[in-house]
Amino acid sequence: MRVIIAKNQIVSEPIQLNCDENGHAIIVAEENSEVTIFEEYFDKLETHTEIFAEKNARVNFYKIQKCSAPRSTNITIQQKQDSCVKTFFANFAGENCQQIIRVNLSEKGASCYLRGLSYLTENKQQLTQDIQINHHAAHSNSDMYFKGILNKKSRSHFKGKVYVERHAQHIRAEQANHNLLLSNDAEAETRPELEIYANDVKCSHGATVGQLDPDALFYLRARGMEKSDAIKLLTQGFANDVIQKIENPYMLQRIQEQVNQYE
Amino acid sequence: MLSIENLHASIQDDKQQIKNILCGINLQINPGEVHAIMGPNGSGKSTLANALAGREDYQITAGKVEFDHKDLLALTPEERAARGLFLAFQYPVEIPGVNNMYFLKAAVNSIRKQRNLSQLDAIDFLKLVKEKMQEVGMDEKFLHRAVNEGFSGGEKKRNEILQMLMLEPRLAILDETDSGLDIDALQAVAKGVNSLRSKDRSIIVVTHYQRLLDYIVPDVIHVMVKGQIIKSGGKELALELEAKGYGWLECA
Repeated sequence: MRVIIAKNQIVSEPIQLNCDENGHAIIVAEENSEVTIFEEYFDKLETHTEIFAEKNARVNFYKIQKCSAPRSTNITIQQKQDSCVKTFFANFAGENCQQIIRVNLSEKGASCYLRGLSYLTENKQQLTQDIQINHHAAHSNSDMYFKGILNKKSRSHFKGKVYVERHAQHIRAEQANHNLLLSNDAEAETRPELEIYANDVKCSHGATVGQLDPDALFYLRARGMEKSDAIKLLTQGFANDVIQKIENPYMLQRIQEQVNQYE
Repeated sequence: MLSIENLHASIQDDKQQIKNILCGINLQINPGEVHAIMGPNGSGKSTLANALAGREDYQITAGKVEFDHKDLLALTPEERAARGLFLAFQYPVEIPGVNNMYFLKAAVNSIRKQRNLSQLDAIDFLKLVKEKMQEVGMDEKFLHRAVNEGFSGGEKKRNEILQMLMLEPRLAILDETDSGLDIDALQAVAKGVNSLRSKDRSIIVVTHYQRLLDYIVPDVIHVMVKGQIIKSGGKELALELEAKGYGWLECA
């Protein structure tokens, strides 16, 4: 499947990508165009999505994954001068799922915002995320912000890398991965990496794996909330922080509702 | 209303050592009374306040506590709240991602549910909360922020008092609510507390300083040292403590 947004075209209604014979989608946003894409595959085991953002193009890309079968997703994003790509990856289920994301910021002024939330609630659920943003050009920006919530015996592996070439000066890159474990049996592994060859850049990274704050839990219970409600509210609070960065109101609501469903 | 008999509590520290903090507290609080508990750092005042609210970090090793003639120690923190016990925290907790208004409404309705009362709807709730915010001098913008996140010390304490006014407890325990407050915030807090005073409500004010007691005048003052109440008296005791410190009592 191929979606091409012509030069200077602003598509006001979001485009929904559902299915394709071979699970392959190509999205090309030509110069000065703007588009919002929702992608949700139901029955493909392997998918590959390629996004090309030409000069000054603006692409908002949202992907929801909520089937239980094992699957592997590849997303590659190529960005030209002053283009801006904002993405949100929601992973709500899946046994042995893999998500590989590659971003190339190849010209100056390109910015990309990768955000995501994974919420694994069942024993066999497992998610591996491998994300790399390559800064090939000066004055490019990236922001990688992923959160994970894990219950029961679920597992998550996160590898996030920001690579900055020698001549890619004056770039800004932020990277964070925070994980909340709701059970003693859940496991989250996180590996944030920065590989920087330029000498005038602003980069930060951080990663955490933790449990609910017992002080916050007591605070809510002391205000009359039952323990299970308090846990639910704190977990939603943890998720909200990243969900609230979603700009599309429909997607914001959809993902919020999905999160609020969990006990 | 509240009757504490020979209460002993301990905590396990980082080195797994058991440390006794409360060593036989006896306290009787009748409806309508305001009691102040004063004492030096580390005397166990905050432990007492937190143990009454049900914090699980503390091990109750002996004694009993009755709230309205029922065993308080057998209840969960949320059950204590539903029966009308309220703790204003010394260090209110920041909860990112949870909207303050949502939190307040959830708290009010949780307690109403446990009391078999109908849930407040959005309109009634908003009307009530705006009225109470005005009382404690809080801007409405704080409704739309995350619970206590990035609030100044004074704003956090006002938020505690706001919660107290919304929940209308029968027994309010203020754990060093005055610490770190400027005079305006102190007065706002005191005004909120005083507006709650009535013949069937009781208040425990835990504080280091006499200053708060100028605004919230207690019926009884207790001095706590090393996990015990070593002296009780009328409001003039606060002035004596302010003048002499705690040393003369500890030596006695």
